[in-house]
Amino acid sequence: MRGSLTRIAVLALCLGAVAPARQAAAQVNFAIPESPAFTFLGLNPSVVSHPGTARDFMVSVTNGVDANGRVQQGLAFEISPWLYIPGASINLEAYRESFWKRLLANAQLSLGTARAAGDTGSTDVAFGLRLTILDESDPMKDWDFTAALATAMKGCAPKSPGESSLPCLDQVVSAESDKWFKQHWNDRRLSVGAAAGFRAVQSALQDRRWLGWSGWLSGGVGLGQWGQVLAQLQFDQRDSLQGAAETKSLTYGARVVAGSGGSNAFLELAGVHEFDAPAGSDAGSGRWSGGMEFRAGENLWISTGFGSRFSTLKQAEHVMLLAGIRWGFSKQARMDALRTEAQGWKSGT
Amino acid sequence: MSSTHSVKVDPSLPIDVSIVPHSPHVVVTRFWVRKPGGDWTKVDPDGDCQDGQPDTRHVGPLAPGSSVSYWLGIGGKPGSTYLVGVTVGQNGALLSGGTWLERGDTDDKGAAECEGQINLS
Repeated sequence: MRGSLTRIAVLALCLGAVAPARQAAAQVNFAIPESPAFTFLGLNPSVVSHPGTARDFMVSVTNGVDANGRVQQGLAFEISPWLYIPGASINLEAYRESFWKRLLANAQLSLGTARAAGDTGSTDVAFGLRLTILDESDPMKDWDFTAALATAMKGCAPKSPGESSLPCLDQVVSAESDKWFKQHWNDRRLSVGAAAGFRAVQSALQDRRWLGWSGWLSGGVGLGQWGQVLAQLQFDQRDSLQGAAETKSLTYGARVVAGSGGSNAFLELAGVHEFDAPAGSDAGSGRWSGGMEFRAGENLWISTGFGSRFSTLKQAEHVMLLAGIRWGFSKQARMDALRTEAQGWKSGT
Repeated sequence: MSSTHSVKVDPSLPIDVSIVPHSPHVVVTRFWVRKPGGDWTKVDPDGDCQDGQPDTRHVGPLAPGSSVSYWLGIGGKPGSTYLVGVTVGQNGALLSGGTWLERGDTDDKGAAECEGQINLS
């Protein structure tokens, strides 16, 4: 299919960053990047700074720029902007009652710098924003959950000043949240993210070239207690730079998973559409896959699939080809790993 | 995280210590009091701010040289920053030096704890 239609084909579940246009295989993460700026730059920084106050942030940023206005490579910041508002207060009651305060409390800003590809003297700078529009799996909105959590946490109070109760608190908070997410792992959610960047030529901030921007929209709904439908859209635009043409692409994907204690099934598909693709080239590509897994015994799950890509829903520990069909073997259900990932307190959808 | 604060009090009046959450976290509290030369004595009952409202304890009157210790257990989203205000007052008025902010991050399970000591003079 050409033009505005794209072939629907197999989607491989991939937890890495989504790269910009002209991908031979669509890769959809079904989650807004935790730090859109880093994803835009293709970074996975090992150290990310979280300056706690506006002053700390400004000091960190100014330390990243030398006296000649040249920006350092390898900077990575994440901040919750509401913490920088003097006198700001969002307690649990405000968090529950106000959509806007909840939106603000969960907003994340990211800022990163990286060496420009093909030009070691220049630095790419990106900034990003992540917003949680809806998250019905958020336990902090639920009175019953916070009441139960408070009761459990009181049991951890130390006998005397100076004693630590953190191991006990870890245990009860984990137990209460595990209980919550067993019932709410597939609740409705919707998140958006965006990132944009520029290139500082020879790392000089006063000489900038616009790189482009990316946007993400991701959401999910439950299917009873036994399944989930997830979908994601990602748009990437990159300006023409150093002889490369401008690119615009839309990556999209959907996943349906369903199952019970002893068996699970899944279907995934994704596509990429490139706008203004050169004449003669394929404007779209995609993949699909589906499969089943079932418990064959203690610590033994067997899975099989079909489609153009077998490796999806988490790689099985062992894979073999038998009678022309690929079979995977794992100690736990691959879908359980998905359910655990769905407990995205921090990253959401 | 532990902090120490000094507050001048009127030894003839009870002291109000309030824990005021400023972030979307569950906060549970425990207090102790120590008179000069004495041991720590727990103040009943334990409290919580799971509905976001302040938790206020009335202790004393206490003589100068006494101390009040508090422990806060915090629960919420993993890796999130908590903000909890502490205020010390008497007779409805805030005492000089009697307000500060406890701040930190929950761990990867979503838990944190913090304690402080208020030395009365």
